[in-house]
Amino acid sequence: MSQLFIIALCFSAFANAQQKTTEHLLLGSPYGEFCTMCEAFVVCLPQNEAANINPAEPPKVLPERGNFTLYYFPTRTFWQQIYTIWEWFIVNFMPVNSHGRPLGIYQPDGAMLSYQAAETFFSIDPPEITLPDAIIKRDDGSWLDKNRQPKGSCYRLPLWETLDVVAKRAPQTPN
Amino acid sequence: MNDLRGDFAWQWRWFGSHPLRGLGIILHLLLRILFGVFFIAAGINKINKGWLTTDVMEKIFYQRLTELHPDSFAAFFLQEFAIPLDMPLAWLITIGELIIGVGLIFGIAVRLNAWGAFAMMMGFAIGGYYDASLLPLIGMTILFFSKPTGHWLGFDRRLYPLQPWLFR
Repeated sequence: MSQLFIIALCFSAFANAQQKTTEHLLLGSPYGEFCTMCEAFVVCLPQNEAANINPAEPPKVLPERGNFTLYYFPTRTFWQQIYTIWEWFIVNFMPVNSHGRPLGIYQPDGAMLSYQAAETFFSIDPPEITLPDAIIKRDDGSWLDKNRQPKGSCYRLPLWETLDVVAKRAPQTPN
Repeated sequence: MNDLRGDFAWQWRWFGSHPLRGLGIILHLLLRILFGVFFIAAGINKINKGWLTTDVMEKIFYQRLTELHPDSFAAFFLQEFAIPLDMPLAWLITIGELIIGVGLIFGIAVRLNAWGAFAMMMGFAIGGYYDASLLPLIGMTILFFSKPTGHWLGFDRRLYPLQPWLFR
């Protein structure tokens, strides 16, 4: 019985090194990193358009027109989901601060949206989302170019409403 | 001793004459112990995060509800079953993970614990927490259920005469 107790204590010690809370970050959660099966849309607006936005009232709908980039973060791929077993295991011994997942990039093309598939990389430390063409800082939503120069600001959009909009404006894409 | 090991024995001679079966048994036991460690770590993590003492489970369910399609079965399951029973479920999952983990590591009622792990993961999947990582984990529980691994290594072998159904 005492062996059981010692083992439980050991596990308790290393289990304390669990995933950080990321509630304060863009696409963060009070229960850990942006989840494997979660999906999200983030719209990024250039500086001149983002300057007109009241931070207390971030956009809730995709702009009808204008210059923006809409990033779609779908669920992780099948093999990335399998890999989460290892991530959940190893997080008990050392922090797991990053993960990869697929990415969809939508850009305005007249009244419609063009689509491009890519890969992205989520990180808690540093708190960033690395995109093929840019970086999103997750602590303040700022949008940086590859040289880390400010490019604009990013905002999370409601999932289901944005899926409907994308289905209408980009009907040929996987969504 | 009356057990289900058949001709298996922890002897170099046995492994020498059954190399493939021996390797399978070693891998099987290794998986079982790792699975048990995984479950214990998950249970302790939940205790540390206040699952047994706060409404964190309810918050997790509500957060998941916002991510699920409103017409999906998982959303219905969360609203009608999981959220009203959040605290009993938090206890069931947390304590269940600890019991299953200990059982698998020490080879105590392995088959019953494997069944418990299987049921728990099927519940996660139905409740909107399905992802592909559940597939190998569910596969492992079926593996642990199918063989008397607690008789190869663990207390099942000693406990079997007391209650053959439980420790088989």
